Amino acid sequence: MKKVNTRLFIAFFGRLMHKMLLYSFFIISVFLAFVACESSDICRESTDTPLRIGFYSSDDGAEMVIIDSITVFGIGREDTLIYNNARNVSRVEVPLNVSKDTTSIGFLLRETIDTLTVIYNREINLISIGCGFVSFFDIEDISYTTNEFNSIYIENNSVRNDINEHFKIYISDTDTDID
Amino acid sequence: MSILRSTFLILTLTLISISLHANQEEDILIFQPSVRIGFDASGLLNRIWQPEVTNIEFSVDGKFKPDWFIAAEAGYLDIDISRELFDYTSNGLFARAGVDYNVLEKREPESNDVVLLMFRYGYSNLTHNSDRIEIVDPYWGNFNSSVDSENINSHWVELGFALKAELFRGLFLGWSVRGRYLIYSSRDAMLDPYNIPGFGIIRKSNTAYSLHYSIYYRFPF
Repeated sequence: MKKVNTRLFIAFFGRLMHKMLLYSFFIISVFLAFVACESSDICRESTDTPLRIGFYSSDDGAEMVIIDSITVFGIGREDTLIYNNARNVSRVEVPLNVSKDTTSIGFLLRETIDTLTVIYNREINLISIGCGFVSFFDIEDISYTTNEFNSIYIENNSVRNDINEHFKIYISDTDTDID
Repeated sequence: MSILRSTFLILTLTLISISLHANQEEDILIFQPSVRIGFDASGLLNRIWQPEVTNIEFSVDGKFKPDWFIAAEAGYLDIDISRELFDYTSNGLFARAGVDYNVLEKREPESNDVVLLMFRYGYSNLTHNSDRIEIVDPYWGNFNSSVDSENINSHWVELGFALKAELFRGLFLGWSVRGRYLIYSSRDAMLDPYNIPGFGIIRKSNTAYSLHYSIYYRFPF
C-alpha cells in the first residue's frame, strides 16, 4: 500500500518537475526580452571621466579643507576657466586632455598660483553602443609647484567613468593672509 | 542584478526540491547513448534591441555515461555600428568545449529532462577596427582618431547551470546561465574589444556572465 502511494507521488512529482522546467524557460525568455537586453539607443552609463582632486589639511591629513575661493584653469586654455572664483570648495573636477599624454592645470588660491602637471596613458573604450567611445586615463607621473600646495598624494591612478577621488592635495589649514 | 537574483531563486528552489526527494528507491537505469543538437535563440532576440549585433550559436552534446554529457558550442559574432560620433566593426568565431553533469534524479523512466552543471573551456578569434572615433571635449577640444584592423585571440573558462526540458518527443527547450573568467587575451592597449565572441562584454576583473536559451533536438540511437 505504502509502495503504491510512493509511486504515485513520484509520478506526480516528476510531472510537476517537468512543468517547472518548462515554465522556467518561459520566465527566462520574458526576462531576456524585457530586462536583460540593453537597447543600443540608450546610454545608461556615465561618459564623464574627470580627474577628481580633494583638498586636505597638511596638519591633519584626514580632514578636508574648505577653500574660501578658488580659480582653476587649464594651462594653454587660460581664456576659459574651469572654476571661476568658486566659493567654499573642498573638491574639484578637472578634464584631462584626451588629445595629449599630459595636462597642466593652474590653481589660483589665496592669491597664489600653483601648477599641477599630470602625465598619463590613454585608453580608448567603447563602453556601450548607446554611449559610444570614452577615454580612460592611467596616471603615470605628476609634478607640481609648492607655493600653497604642501604635497600631493595619488590615491587612485586610474581615471574611469566612476566617482573615485584620484588626488589628495595637502595645504595649510590657516590662510596665509592672517600672518 | 535582478536577473541574477531571480535565476538564483529558481536554481535554489530546484535544488531544494531535488534534495527533498533524493532518498527514493533506485530505478534500474538502462544506459542509452544519445546525441543532441541545439540552436541558441537568445542572439536572435537580442537583435531586436541591438540590430547592430548578430550572434549565431549552435551546440552539440552527447551522453557518454549515465548523467554525463560531453558538450561543445560554436558560433560567430558580428558587430557593425555606425553612429554620429563613431564607427565600429568587429567579427569573429568562437568555440567552447567541456562536460555537463546531470544533477536531476530520474523519477520516471520516460523522462529525459536534465538539470546540468556545466564546465567549459572557450576560445575565440576576432578582428575589429574603427574608422572614425570622435570624443567630445568641450574644454580641450574634440579628439578625433581611428584604429586600424587588429586581430585578437582570447581564452577563457566558464561554469554554468542549465535546464533542458523535453517538450515533445526529442524536442527540448532549455536555458543556461554562465559565469566566465578570461584567462588570456592578446588585447592591444589602445582599443579593447567591445564584445569578445562567445565570451561577452568584459565586466570588472576579467569576468563576464550571460544568459542563453536554446531549442534542441535529440537523436535517439
